[in-house]
Amino acid sequence: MTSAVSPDVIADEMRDELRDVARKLIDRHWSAQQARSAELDDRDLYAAAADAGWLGLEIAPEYGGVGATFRETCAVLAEMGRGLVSGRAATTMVVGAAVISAAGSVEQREQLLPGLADGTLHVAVGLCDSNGRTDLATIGVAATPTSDGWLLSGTVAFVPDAATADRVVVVARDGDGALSLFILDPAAAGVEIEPVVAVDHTRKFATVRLDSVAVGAGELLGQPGCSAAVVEWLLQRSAVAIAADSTGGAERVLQISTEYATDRVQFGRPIGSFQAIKHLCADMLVGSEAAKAAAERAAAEVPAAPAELPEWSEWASIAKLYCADTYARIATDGVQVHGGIGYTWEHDMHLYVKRAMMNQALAGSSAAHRGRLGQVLLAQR
Amino acid sequence: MTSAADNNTTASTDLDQFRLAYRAFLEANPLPNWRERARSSEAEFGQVQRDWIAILNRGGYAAPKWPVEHGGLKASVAQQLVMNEENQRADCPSQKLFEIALNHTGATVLNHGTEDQRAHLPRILDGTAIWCQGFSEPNAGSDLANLQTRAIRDGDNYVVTGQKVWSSWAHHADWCLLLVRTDQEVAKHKGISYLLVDLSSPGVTVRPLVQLTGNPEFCEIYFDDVLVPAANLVGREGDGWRISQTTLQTERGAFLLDRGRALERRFANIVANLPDVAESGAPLTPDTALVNDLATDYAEMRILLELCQRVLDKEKAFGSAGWEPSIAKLFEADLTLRIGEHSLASVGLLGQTDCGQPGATAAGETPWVLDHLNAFGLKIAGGTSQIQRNILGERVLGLPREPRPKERT
Repeated sequence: MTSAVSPDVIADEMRDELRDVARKLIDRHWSAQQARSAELDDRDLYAAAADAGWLGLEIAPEYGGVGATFRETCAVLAEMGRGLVSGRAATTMVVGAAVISAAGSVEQREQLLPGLADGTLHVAVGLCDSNGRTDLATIGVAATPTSDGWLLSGTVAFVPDAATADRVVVVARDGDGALSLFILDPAAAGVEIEPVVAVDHTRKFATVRLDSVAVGAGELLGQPGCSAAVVEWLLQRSAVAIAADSTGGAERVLQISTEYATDRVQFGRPIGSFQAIKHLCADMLVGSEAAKAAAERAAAEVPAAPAELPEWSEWASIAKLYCADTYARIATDGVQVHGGIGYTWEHDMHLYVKRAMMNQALAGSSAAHRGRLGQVLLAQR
Repeated sequence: MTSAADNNTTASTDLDQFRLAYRAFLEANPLPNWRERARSSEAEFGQVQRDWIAILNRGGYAAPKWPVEHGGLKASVAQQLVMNEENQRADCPSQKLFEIALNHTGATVLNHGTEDQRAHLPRILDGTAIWCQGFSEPNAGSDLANLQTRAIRDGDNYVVTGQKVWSSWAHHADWCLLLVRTDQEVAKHKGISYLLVDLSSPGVTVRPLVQLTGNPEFCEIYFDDVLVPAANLVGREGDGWRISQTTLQTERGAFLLDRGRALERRFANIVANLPDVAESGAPLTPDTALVNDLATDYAEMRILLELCQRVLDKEKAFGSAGWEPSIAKLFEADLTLRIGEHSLASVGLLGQTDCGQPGATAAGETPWVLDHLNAFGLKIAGGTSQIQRNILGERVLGLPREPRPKERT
């Protein structure tokens, strides 16, 4: 428990310290070699994350958590992005624990949060529609009322870490378009979970298909038809989490590329002494620093709990859009700085490129967030 | 981001009082018809600038950053930002022609000058002395240390000969901050000295250069055996490079944030004037390419303001922000140029009109195409974007320097 975090981790220096500890812990329990294996076996890291208090970082102390804020979560997430860490711990930190804390009854919280905090329970959360989009207007499987509950039918695409989860939370939409949240046993009748092989193989996803799955009050999280604000809040957390992940990845790519440009000699001099390479690296630095500023500001803007009504966060969209796009640009340039070796399977660069491209598409694509900002601008005419 | 100081409430009350006092001063002391006067002729534009700083000086507001004992306000960064906001609100003249005097001359003589040299300060405050900078030369731009203007000591004087260029507003200026070579024999950075030069001295010729916007701003200054009293040497002989490079290392944050806010106002103006239909004839939607571009610009503009705020916060905590202002400057230059391109794309042919105003107009009032052309300077002045990238690459990332041809020893 030497690396456990205390509840009053608020100051920036404390977050820097948290990042240092996280970096060392990840280096000990995870490697790029693991990130490129098909199994993505994260049991060792997951246990270490539980020990370090990361899984329960934002869970209230009375349920076995640390009681810190989303800003600390994002500090750890940046390190996970840096280390190409597979997502199970991140899923718990970003949405798994948050949805139970925000929407669960006292009974559900008592029952589920301690397990989430100590790593014995893993909850996956599906926030996409069947096409992988995260639009509040299209999210949600169909919920049809029955005499003692509902029947859920539909598809949720790209649910992170669903295939190994103990429970899966889905969004359901009734005939009036009102959203509810349900927590399902993956073994329940009518639930089918099929792993998706993504090109970014540092992460695992699955498609969750529901065919007339019978649910009742026991599976319901929160009041029926009243969960739009919670879903919007979870989407914001996801968007900012991806922004934080992107900043860590971008920082690492810049570091690797700078080292390579310093060591690699052609025409009798290090290639980093050529302005063509030097300026590429300088632009990577500018993008990396700007992304950090955006992600950290956005993390501070996300509220500690959902509002009454869905409230869009401008900073979440700004950070998601800029950080993921910039990460992709930096990773692409990183390959170029490396030349031929950066184009190989053997080198790690492609893992960053693929993760960056996945980040652009996850948690609301860049185009989706850009469209959202565009709507606001058009309204100011 | 606000710091959670215990006396936040008191601080903000004090700031509110400061704001109200300055607002009241501006309302009570207008400069009638300043815009019409400034537009009427180049000379009148200069006079407006002199009149305005004299008015501000009556309230003690002329030099916000200077120490109180030298007629300044010793204003906090927060107070300076409040003053900028109130200047906008009151639509008063800029202090364009006094920027060098208030920033460079002030910092230089206060930090390195003699008592006699500090006597220049009151003449800035009352509007009698406009200052310009004589640093760059035809063969000393990005490679500033290569400057060749010579100053040879002759008794109590230096005899100065050479040519300076890109000296903003020198055709209005009375005095010049001049970098000269006093020693040909040592490494090029070490042979440079810093002089204060009276531009009315015999042998000085100032020739305005019309810049690509059509306005005269930059000038060439020729020095032909000009006698400069040795008492006008700042610091020691040979110390000019260090003095010029260290004088303005601090307080970049407020300056950057100020420009960021100006860009924000310009952007709001672009958005407010968006047409209903795109150049293609189709109605604008969030998916129109132009709107997409502007959405990206908007996101980056918010991030720019955040970067500037971080520079400010860091300066407040540590005194100087190190290399982060270079990052903000590069980010700002690229973004401003892109916003300019998109502003022109949004108005099509209508954006190409030239109202032919001289350089006295407030931000946002010039035609957009001139705003855009003006912004080209952001990538050139104060260290080109390429030089900034070298600095970041070498000093921050630690990449090796380019091999250089053998320097004169």
